[in-house]
This record gives sequence, structure tokens and C-alpha cells, in this order.
Amino acid sequence: MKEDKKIDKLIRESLKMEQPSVDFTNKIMNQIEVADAKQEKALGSLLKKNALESPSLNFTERVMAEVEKASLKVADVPIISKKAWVFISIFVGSIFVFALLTGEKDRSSSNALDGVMEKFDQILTNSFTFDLPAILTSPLFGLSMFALSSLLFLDYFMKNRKLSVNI
Amino acid sequence: MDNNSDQIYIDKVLQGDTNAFAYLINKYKDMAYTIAIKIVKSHEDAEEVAQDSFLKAYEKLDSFKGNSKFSTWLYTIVYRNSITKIRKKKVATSDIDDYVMDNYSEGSEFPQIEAIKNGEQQKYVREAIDRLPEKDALLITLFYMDESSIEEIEKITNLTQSNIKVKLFRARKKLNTELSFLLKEEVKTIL
Repeated sequence: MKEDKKIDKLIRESLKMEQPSVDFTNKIMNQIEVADAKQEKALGSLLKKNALESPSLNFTERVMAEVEKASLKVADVPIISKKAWVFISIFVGSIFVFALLTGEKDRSSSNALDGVMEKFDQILTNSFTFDLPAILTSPLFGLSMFALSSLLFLDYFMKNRKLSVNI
Repeated sequence: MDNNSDQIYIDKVLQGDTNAFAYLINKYKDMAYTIAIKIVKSHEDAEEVAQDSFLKAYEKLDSFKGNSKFSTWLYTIVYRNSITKIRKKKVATSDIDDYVMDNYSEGSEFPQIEAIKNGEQQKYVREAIDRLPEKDALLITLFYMDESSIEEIEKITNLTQSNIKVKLFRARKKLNTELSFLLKEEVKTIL
């Protein structure tokens, strides 16, 4: 039994695994790379030759007709944009609402301000105070203007949102 | 040189020579249309998408700063318009992908090479691409047919570079299997 083990050990020690050349792995990897590159080139060539689709024959003419229309539209753009009108409306509406809601109160509460603030307030009041016709100072008119501005503003954003979805 | 010639025509359009835009349409219409059809899967819709995309490109041409190639910028518009189109038609992209993956058979029988004429070769190649999930088909189109780089594809599709590489690898493997009978011949011709 001991003899057998000794023989086994001897055989194991004497046996060595055979080794290929040092650059064996590199050679195989190079072959794989070359084959892959050929395959890749062939696939690219095959796809280029066969897979490109073409639109209808008059495609360019149709797009150019649309382009012509679009360039005419650009010339028709108004000087004051819709966006500017919305902001003007809001600004005017805000002035009316401000005049309606704060006009009387500011004068009565100005007594409570100290000297410097009072002077500053007077300068501001003198600079920006103006008399409006009675109809323009009615609360109903102010609220109407505010509501109208809000609706215009809302309309603008909804249209804008639709446009961006289309894009 | 190619990008320079594009820029010359872009400048002409921006200076008011509308007709110069026809050069850009003629140069890129096939690829724009091919990208659109890979996503919307219908000739009518693809043509409409391609047309809208060129029109949008014209309208927004002044916003093209030349940081990327004009083609990359244009194909981004085509890609987004195509996605909007299929969303409008309420076709969920993931469902299409799942459907294609479920119905994709790698072991389909290949016709004999002798039986394939030139016209038929085109048919087999297009059908093989059509059997890919739509995003994979688009990436293959951009990578092989337009020779876009991974970075350019990233800009167009908004996919990450690693995602693009994985999808390309997957698509390439499927095409290699599906078109192996044609690729063998193609390898011989390019050597």
C-alpha cells in the first residue's frame, strides 16, 4: 500500500503539463479580433447597401413648399407679440386693482410712519398719484380687469403647452 | 469637409436664401426617413414625421450653434418627432419591444444563398432589422448606416453610452445570426 502511494507521488511529480508557446493566448485573441472585425465590416457594408429607405420622389419639393409657407409666416409676425400683450394686460390690471384696494388706506396709515419714511412716502405718492375717472375706480371694473388678465394668461400658457407637446 | 459644406448651406439659409435648404433635405432625407420608419413603422407616418422634422429644423435653424454635426441635430429632431407620433397613436414602446422579443425566433430557417437575388437580399436585410426591438433597430441604423459615434447616438436618443453599447451588442448578435448566410458572402466580397 505504501509502495503504491510512493509510486503515485513519483508519477505526479514527474508529470508536467505541456505548455503551448508563450504568445498562444495572444494569437487566439488576435484571430478572434480579426474575425470579429471582418464580421463587423461585412455587417456594416450589408446594412449600408440594403437597409437605407427612401421617402417618396417628390419629398424635397413638398418640404420646400412648406418651408416657403413658413418663411412667409415669419414675415407676418406682429410687432407686439401675444406674450407681450398678456403681460401688458396683467400690468394694467394690477395697477387698477392696486389703485382700488390701497388708494384710501395708504393715506390714512401714512400718519404712523416716522419722519424719513413719511417724506419718502410723500415723494412716491406725489410721483405716482393720478386721478382716474370714476368708472375706472369702481371695484367691479377692477375685478373684471383682473379676471380678464388671468384668463388671457391662462389661455396663453395652455396654448403654449399644446405647442410644446407637438414638438 | 462634409460638415463645412453643411455649414455653408446653413449660413446661406440664415441669410435668407431659402432654396439652399433643399441641399440639406436632399442630403439627409433618406436617413431621416429611415430613422422615422424604424420607430413609427408606417410609410405614411414616417414621411409625415420626416417632413415635419425638416420643417422644424428650418424654423429653428438659427438655434443650431454647430456644437454637434448638423445631421446629429437633425436626427435628434426626427427621433423626438417619431416618439411623439407613436405616443399620439397610443402605441406603448415597451409593448412593441416585448412583442418583438416574444415573437423573435433566432432559429428561423435561412434561405439558400443561391436563391437570393439582389432585390431579395435587400428584403432579407430589412426584415431582419424590422424583427429587432425598435430601439435596437434605430441604434443599428445610426451606428452602421450613418456611422454615428456612440457619443452622437447618446445625443440623439438620450440613452446612456453603456445602454447603447449593450443594445448594439445584442442587436449585432441577432443580425449576425439572422443574416449569417448573407454575411459569409459579404465577407468574401470585402476581402
